Amino acid sequence: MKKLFLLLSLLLPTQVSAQTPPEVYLETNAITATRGDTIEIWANFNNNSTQTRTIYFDFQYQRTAFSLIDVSFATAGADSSAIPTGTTTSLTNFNFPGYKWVQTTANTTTNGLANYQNMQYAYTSGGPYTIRRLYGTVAPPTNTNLGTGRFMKLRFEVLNTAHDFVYDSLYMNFAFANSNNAGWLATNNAVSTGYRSAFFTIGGGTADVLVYGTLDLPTSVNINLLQPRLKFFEKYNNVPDTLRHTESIGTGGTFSITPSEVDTDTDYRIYLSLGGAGGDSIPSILNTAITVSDFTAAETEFSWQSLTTGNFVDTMFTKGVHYMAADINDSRGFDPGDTGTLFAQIAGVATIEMTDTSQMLLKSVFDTVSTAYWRVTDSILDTQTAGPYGMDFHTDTTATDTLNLKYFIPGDVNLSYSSALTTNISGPQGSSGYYYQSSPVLTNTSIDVNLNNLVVTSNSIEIPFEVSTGDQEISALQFEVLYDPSKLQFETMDLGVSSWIAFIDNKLGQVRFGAIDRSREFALSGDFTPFILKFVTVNNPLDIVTQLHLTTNMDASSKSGHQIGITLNSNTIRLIGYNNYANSGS
Amino acid sequence: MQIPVHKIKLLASLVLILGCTLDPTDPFDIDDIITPTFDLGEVPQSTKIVNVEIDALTKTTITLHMAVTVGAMYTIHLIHPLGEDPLAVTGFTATTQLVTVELDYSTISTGLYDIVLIDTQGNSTRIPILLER
Repeated sequence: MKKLFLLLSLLLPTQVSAQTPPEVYLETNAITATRGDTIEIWANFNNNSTQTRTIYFDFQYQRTAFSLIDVSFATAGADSSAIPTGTTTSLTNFNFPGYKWVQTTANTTTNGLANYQNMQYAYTSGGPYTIRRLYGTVAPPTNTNLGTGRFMKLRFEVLNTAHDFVYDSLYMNFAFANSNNAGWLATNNAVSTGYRSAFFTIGGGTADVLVYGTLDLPTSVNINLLQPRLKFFEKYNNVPDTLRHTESIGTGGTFSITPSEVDTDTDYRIYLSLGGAGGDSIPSILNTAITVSDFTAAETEFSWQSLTTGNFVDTMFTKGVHYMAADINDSRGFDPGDTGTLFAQIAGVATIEMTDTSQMLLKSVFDTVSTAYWRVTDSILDTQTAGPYGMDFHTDTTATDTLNLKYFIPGDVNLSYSSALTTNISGPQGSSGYYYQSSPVLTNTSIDVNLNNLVVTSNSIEIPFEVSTGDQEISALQFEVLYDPSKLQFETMDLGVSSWIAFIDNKLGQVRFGAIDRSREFALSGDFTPFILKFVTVNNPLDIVTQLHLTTNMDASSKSGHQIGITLNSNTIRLIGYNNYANSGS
Repeated sequence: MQIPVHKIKLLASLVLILGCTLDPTDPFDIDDIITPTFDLGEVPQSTKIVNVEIDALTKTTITLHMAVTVGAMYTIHLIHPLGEDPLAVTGFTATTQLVTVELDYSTISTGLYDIVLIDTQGNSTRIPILLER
């Protein structure tokens, strides 16, 4: 009989009950309010039979639009509360103004603990965002645990922002729990219920809108760098005369002008200004927008022109706006001077001339101007009075006018930091319709770049950039690295692709570098190390603790001249001196 | 001009002394300067914080339990939540798979911090810690 029971027990499937993680979620993802209102956002908790005693939150919101009034726990024992009767609570609240969460694949998961482990932030002095860390601890009565329901309430005041303020959501970047008996737990963030962000619809305080419109901004835009502003000049005798109004445009790209800002039934000429009041950030805009693949695309198109007619074949540049962006010297032609200036800009030996009045076009013109007519000024003037650098606009008497605008940066031929090109082309599975197109770009093609952390044992530090392209032949690469100049000094760069032309642009704490196969005869594929950056330590190398950060200003080009993507294993290189690993004590 | 005899003797003595003391092939003992070597230990296979305990009495002594690789080297950093530069650093070489390290943070002010365990490959794991007095 015993053998029978043993046999039965072996044959019966063993049921292993995996512990379901606790879950944190926002109660709502849509909040409608009026300026001056107080709004509440609940972070709720599902205990899932754990002994959770602490929940650690990371929230992000626009501090220029919302002021956190207070944070409180749900009433212990209330029906909707996750907190049982008799529980005592405590809260630690830290504010980090100017910080913003940098989203990566690793830190946007539904596991709050994983997001925390892979956190990345960008800091902007005086920046509009803030990070709020909340560390909420509970002490329930003996043999009692948290339940399911409301846990913590954040109360905000909606600040009195400008009528055209562009609101961003509140984000719960991570939340994870600490258990009495198991330490910090993998914690679901809005997996089975609730949300990880809350979108605001804010009304009130909005005057009548006379002109409403959009400036098409790239998804990667750094609004603090681009600083787009529309300038409305009153016209006198058909000549722009007096600056009547300047409209700043936020991340969303929408704008609205009220009757108090411009007059009704009046002629204006509108200009787009980039780079701040004095155009201070124009050099940074150019460095971000113009990278190696812009040059390879332009040079490829130029080199393929017909030897007999001089006509271009429109292989890389399929739309007129590509040529307009390539016409850097504004000669209304695409000539060797343009490609030469483009290379000089990338190499850092010269800067493209760009005033703070930028190349703005009506959306309808931007998307449709053809490769045949782009240089014929009149063809543009037919639809956009006053040419590509400004446009004439007559305000209506009462009704709202709509103005949809696009822009490009001279030299940004693949439009990576300009408005996206929308064109009527064949879409997926042969369907037709309007799709975003950026012609000199190979989509779904990328190379891998591997960066390794280092234990520092001497004052000379070498950082290899290991590239793996598979079968893809590449002809240009560039990167930008930020470092702490109080700890490191940049020395030089060893080039592992000797037949390519290298460039280095080193500023204090920032080095931009790359190389181009100008002859397109030495394109490389497979695994190789094109660059080794060399630094020396400022102080004792054995004690150093620092990090190098790769910016998003990186680029790669295929042998054909098209831009291709780069996949990094990490955008941070950690350098830690040997003494930090030795038995040094705290 | 004639050089006095005593000066000639002095110069000759100096030449003799230098000739006897300096090795003409390595006059400044360059070969004797040894480039230090640094043993980075075993390649880490595990870099985990298992548990942390805060001394209930002092609230400044932290006991950290870690699952690590025997023979591998590690460093423990105490940093501000969004910071990079450590406020305190403790290094160790693991002698067992489960290592316990006692950290004295009595000089660290009250606040919320991260404890980060980093191995020689640059892999890291972190936990938040609230230091109260």
